[in-house]
Amino acid sequence: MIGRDVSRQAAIGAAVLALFLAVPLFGLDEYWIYILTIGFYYAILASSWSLLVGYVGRISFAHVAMSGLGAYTSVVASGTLGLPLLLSIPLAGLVTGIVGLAIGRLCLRLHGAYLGLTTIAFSEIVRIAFTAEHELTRGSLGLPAVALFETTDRIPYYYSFLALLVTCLLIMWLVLRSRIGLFFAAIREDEDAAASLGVKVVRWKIFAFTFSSIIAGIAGGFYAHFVQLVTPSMMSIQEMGFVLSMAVVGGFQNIFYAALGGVFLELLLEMLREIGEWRMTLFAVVVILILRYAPNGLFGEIVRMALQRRTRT
Amino acid sequence: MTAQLVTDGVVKRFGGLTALDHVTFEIEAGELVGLIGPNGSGKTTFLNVLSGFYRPEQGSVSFEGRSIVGREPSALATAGIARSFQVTKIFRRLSVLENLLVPGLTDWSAAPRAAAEKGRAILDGLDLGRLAGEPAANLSGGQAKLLEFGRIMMLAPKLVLLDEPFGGVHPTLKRLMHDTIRDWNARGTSIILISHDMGSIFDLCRRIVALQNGRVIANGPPEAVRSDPAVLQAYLGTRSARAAS
Amino acid sequence: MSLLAFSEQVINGLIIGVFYALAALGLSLIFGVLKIVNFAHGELYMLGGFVYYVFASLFGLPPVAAVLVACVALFLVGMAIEHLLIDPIYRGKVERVDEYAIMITFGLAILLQNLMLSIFGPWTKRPEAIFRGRIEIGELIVSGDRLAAAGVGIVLMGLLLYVLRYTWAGKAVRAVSQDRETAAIVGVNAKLTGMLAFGLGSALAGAAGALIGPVFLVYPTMGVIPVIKAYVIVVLGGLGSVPGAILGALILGLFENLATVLIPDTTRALAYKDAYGLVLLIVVLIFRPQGLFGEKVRRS
Repeated sequence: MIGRDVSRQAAIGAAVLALFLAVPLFGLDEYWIYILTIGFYYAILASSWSLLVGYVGRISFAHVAMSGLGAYTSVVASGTLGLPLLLSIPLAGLVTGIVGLAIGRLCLRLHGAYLGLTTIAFSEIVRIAFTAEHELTRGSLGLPAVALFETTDRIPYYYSFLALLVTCLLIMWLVLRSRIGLFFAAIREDEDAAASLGVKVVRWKIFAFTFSSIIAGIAGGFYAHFVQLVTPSMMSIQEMGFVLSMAVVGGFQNIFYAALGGVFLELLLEMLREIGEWRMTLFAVVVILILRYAPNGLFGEIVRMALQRRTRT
Repeated sequence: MTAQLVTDGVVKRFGGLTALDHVTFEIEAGELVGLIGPNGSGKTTFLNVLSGFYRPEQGSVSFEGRSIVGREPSALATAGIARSFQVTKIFRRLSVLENLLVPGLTDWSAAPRAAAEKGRAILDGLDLGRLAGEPAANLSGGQAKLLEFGRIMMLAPKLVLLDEPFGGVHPTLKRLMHDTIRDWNARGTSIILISHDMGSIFDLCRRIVALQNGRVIANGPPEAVRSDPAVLQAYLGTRSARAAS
Repeated sequence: MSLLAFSEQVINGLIIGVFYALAALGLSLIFGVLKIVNFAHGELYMLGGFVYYVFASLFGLPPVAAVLVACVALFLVGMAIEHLLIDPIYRGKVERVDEYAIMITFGLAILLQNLMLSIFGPWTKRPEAIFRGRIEIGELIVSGDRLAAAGVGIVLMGLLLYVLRYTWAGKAVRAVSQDRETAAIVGVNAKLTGMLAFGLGSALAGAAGALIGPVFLVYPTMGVIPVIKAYVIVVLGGLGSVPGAILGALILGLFENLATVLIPDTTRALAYKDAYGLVLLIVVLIFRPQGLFGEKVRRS
């Protein structure tokens, strides 16, 4: 699992990171810098979602609701309460962490489709509530958010979101390569066996939910001050479908592949603008084909084939 | 001397079915007890109660003098009660060694390197050493049962609960399992063994407890239980029991 | 509230309940046989609405015939989905069954929604009604299209219950629902039964969509809210239970109406209309995952 081929993986990772660091230096159009930055947001969501689904084997459709909750928290805290963003964004993580903990605790005994239904219901309730509470949220008009930086230049946003993505991935990776990652895998493979061997199943399931919710909340908070507007549509089922597609296409059994899937699909979405709604139709077909024939995802398959070729020669 | 594990009047119901009907049982430290009974007599349910997977509706269960009712399975594993499963529950997509590392690392003071060394030694002893890096899904049925043995050994338990460990196991592997069980017992580990394999039960155990319809119908040395009319009746039905007597 | 307004509410509630029940029945049937929750069920319902629209409004088929076309089309679509995407689970071709089943049907939902969006655009369509005009019972006025659609829905449900109870195919469906392996041993073709169940379930969803299309309009996201209600219903009634689904539909209808009355601020009460059922869903799933009427399953 993790730990195997670590040095080779680190080398590939460093190369990809160097590429993203260098991209703005090549005089890429401002527009594409903007799109890539949004891609980083989705990369955080897709990777933290795969932590839950791919590693612990617990499905959640409430992930974008968490992100939206984080976004609203930070916007209200910074706008209405006047907190500095340096406090309001961590506060977003704290709030979604607490909500994640509560949901994780409530849903302990549920898995599979039952968990999927419960999290869909939760997600929709949050979205409906944020649409309905006009006085606080202005409904579907959305709330304007303070900008993260005073400049209109895209570059600071690009690098700060990249830094956030790298930090999130690094923290997740450290957790997953520790014994906690092994406990996650044991729970995913067989909960009863894990418990019979001393794995504190209850604790780690709640931890996983809380952990991924905190990451989603911080990402949402950050994103709100980047696009400078939050609306309830951030929490829609369609948005969740988009994040799911990214994770699946990239490879939901590996946080790094899922993150790449996020950037990749966001870029593709913009590149294929001309074909309009057919884009999502196309993505959905790809998602279904990948689930059926290449469950490791696009990047998982590429790496697998690369490794196979190396061993053959 | 007080017994290591004591149950008193344990009742477990599923809807209208009473799976355990006032089961009173005890096992001394270092004992090896066989648990027999026809299908559906409550053997596995009893093991699930002892290992914390089921909470009994009535009665008490205590281990080393302290009540364990309501404690999580994971807490009982750490306290020294380990178990295997009737339908083998290995972590299929983890490697054979990683399967051992899971229990090895639940103790936070255990260093990963030391746990891996201990795991390798155990795998060698179970003839699984060369498969350490393989995904556990590639093991045969018997090897998977052995892997469960290995995982139990990582916990260094005081009491081991084995649920049908010999089902569908090749005779060579079965001998290895017998030796392992004897070895554990010789080192002072107490064992409760459920099996339909009467040869193994009579071979290994010095005391046998028989269950029927969730009730203890016999308890004693193998010879006594073997000729107990209640046991014969439970296994053979009324008419043949009369014929045998 | 006057008695007249009240009776109007009740009748409308019952009519909506019929459509809910149609969609929920299909969901329950599929879960019973295949043990998967079809997250694309709302989109099959939507597809039924579009098939009806195309045949009734564009091709000018008589409405009842168009409903039947929608049923047949969705039956075939459902069989194809089962064959291509669900059956691999039972042939051991899928590694992580639980996640696969959820994600593949969810992916299918995204696909169907966007496919229809691409072809027909996001605008609402109003297909031909089955029956125009209104029916007056004393002072009570019920719009005819609703009543006729509900009537056809009841006939279809009755037909399904008959098929399940008395035909060989229905017996096969019930046998596989109870125990797939044993059913296979006694000679039931589990694969074919799975396809049949998915086909029938989809046909019911399609029928619901076709019948409701003229009333609530046809558009690509029309299935999102009704299917969430269908989930609530089947969870209330216990997943896989057909009578439970019908009972669940009634409970949801009542609960939604009562909850709306309980909140004094009417605009707010209306804004939260779709949330009540969801709260109910969460509460039931957490405290009684076997449903209100289901038997607790013994853990192996």
